[in-house]
Amino acid sequence: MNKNNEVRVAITGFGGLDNSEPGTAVARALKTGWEGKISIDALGYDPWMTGAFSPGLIDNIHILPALADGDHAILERIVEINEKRKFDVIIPTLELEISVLSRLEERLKSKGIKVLVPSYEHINMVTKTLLPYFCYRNKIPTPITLHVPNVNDVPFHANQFTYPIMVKGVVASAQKVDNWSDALFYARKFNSRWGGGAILQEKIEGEEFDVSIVARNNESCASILAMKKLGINQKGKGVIGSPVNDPELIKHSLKILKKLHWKGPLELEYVKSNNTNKYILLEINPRFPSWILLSHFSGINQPVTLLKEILKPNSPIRNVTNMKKAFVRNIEEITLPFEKIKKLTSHKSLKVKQNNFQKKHTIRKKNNAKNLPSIAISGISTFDYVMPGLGYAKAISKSNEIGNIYGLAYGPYDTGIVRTDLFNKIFLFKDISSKKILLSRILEINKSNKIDLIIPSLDSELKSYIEIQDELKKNHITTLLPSLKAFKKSKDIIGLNNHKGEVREGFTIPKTIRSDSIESFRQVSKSIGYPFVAKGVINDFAANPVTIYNKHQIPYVWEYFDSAGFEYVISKKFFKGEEFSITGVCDRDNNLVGNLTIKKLLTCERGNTWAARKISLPKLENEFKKILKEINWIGPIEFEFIRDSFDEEFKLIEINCRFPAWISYAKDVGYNLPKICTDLALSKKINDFYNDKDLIFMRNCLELDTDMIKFGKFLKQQSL
Amino acid sequence: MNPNTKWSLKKDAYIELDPDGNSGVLIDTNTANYCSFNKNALLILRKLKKGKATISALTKEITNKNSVSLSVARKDVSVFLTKLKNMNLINE
Repeated sequence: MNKNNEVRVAITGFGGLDNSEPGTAVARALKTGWEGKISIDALGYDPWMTGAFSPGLIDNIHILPALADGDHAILERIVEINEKRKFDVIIPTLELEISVLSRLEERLKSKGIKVLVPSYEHINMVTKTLLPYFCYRNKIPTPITLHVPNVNDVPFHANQFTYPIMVKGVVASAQKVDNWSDALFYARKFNSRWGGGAILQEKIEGEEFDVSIVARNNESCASILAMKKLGINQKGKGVIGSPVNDPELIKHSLKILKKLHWKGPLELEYVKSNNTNKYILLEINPRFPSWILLSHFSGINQPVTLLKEILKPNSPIRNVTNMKKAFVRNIEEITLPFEKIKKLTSHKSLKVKQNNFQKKHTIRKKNNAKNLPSIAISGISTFDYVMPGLGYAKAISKSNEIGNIYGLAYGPYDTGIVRTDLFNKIFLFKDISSKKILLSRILEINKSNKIDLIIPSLDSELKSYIEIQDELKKNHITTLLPSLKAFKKSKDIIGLNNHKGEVREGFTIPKTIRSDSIESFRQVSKSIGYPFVAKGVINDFAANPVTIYNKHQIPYVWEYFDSAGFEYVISKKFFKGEEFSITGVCDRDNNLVGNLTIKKLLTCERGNTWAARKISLPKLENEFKKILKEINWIGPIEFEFIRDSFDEEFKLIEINCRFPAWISYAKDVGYNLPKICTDLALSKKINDFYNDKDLIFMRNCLELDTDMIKFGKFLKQQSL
Repeated sequence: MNPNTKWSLKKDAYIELDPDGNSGVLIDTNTANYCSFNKNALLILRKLKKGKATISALTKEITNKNSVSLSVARKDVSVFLTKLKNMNLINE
């Protein structure tokens, strides 16, 4: 602690994109819950620690050498940082760092830096490869788990299990697979990232629970919090969760803790087997989980407990005070000068300008001025991937020309339902299986809450909205959508019905092949080779792409699309290279009124943009404008390109008939395209071009608190 | 279902009322399960919250407030209690 009684903490783990590393949440918990002055520095291994740029959260960002450079290199860098600006405590939040800091603990202590981590031998005991032995020795139920050091042996070993099974990396990453081919694919992928082979694990069906513990220096429990995963996304991550006080789970976890001889934070992952109703231990993580803000929401802020334990051991234990809380993972989108990234890259340290840290989630104020338009926006979730409705709402939410903003959700776990900063009210659409049902629900809402404009933001619903736009107009609900003919033309351009390929000014439209049977799907590689990208298509809607690397994947991919009800599969060559995107909005005369081009700097596995920079590509932009005029486009649209690293040509890989999810960025760099779209739709004068700024776009995960009761009430009342 | 068994709502179960006060959502903080309930279920839940309610007492609560025959009410109460028991929300 320095002269000002300020506690200075360094925390690691601010990256991770959509699979957020825990450091950002740990920092938020400390900043929110620490009673007194606190200053936090972020430590990481590259400049893309997106969570560290969250407004007001971090004071300084430092880049460390890679862990592979050895303990000495890490120590030297920490000491170097500490000489310029002393800190009291380091909280590591990434698996591989814990053993490094355990080995460095005494040397750090001699420099006045404290850490609370277990001994190296105890950390080693719970690594993913050795956990089954620990469980066997201590009679702790765990799934059948096999470490396969040579990934080429994965198909043989995987076939000894009953599918589905879990394939895991030896440090992190996991994927459920249904066949040996996918098992091999993911084993190779995880092995190339983490080394050490792969882990195959029996998949036990049941509800999933996590327990977060802070163990004291004397190995006793300072704090324990059990959480049930209420919402698990396609990656298997719990994005919505609530505390539970099941005595059996707590007792079982404390029993395990006793065997572990642990010090510091710890996460135990369980599944409660549907067959046996017993808790089965899946994993032990030697760090805080990324959902740790739930501990703050429930009244036992564990990062604060840890910091107190380090600075003043044996502080009293606090019990959970609010069991009805839940966390909902959302995203935070920010912009910052590109200079900062450049400076951090070259200087390895960056002082971040301190803004006011927002401890509480804000609520969008109702604009009381009369006759302001109310806007309803769909696509407001970040559950599996970030949907564009949130970006649209963010771009217009502060405008004093907009009245109410309504969010249209499709279930209680659409994460945008807790975004009270963006939406005045949320409405539930339980069923949109037909345009008739969709129209009837909109008109029902319109009776009690007048809607002036609807902005549909999901690919799967656009066609229905286009088909009902005239009916909506009759009811004085405006849209800015193309005709069905223009919509279909956009699908033809991207080759949703076979395309022989075309060279346009500045870019190429790749060839696509339609397969209506597995036999024709097997022939695709003969024409375009491996790897290629396949998408299931239904009703002019294309699903997320699957990359096919070899012939063994073909039957499984076909089965996947066929069983999901897709009508046919469209395939095109897989391109590798830098990604770009142009988005814009056309008026009712098909003129492009505004557009923005970006280069994607970071994308997550599911394709969402996590960092981007505005650029100019005049040739592409001119052709974009020309095509939109050709097809008589109205409303928002996005073209996605890859600059093929093989021939340096731009390849048009996707057309989205809506704004992209990063659209809030447009507002911050001078083209508020959502506001322009709103004004065009409502036939108002457009006045939303500003000065150019060289800001880059960045995104990080943000856990928001809510009451569990809200989920039930939303389902029941159909609005919030 | 044994007519002499006395039922109580578990202490981990919370009744959260809707603004109308006639319906709401039941939360079990032991398991983080939740379910919605209607006006008649609320009558039963309130009685169970007080504790030690027999199926006859719960049935009477329903017949007092609704024009429904004793046999129908008893059957409905029994089904509801079975559901609550399966969700581990009531104690004997």
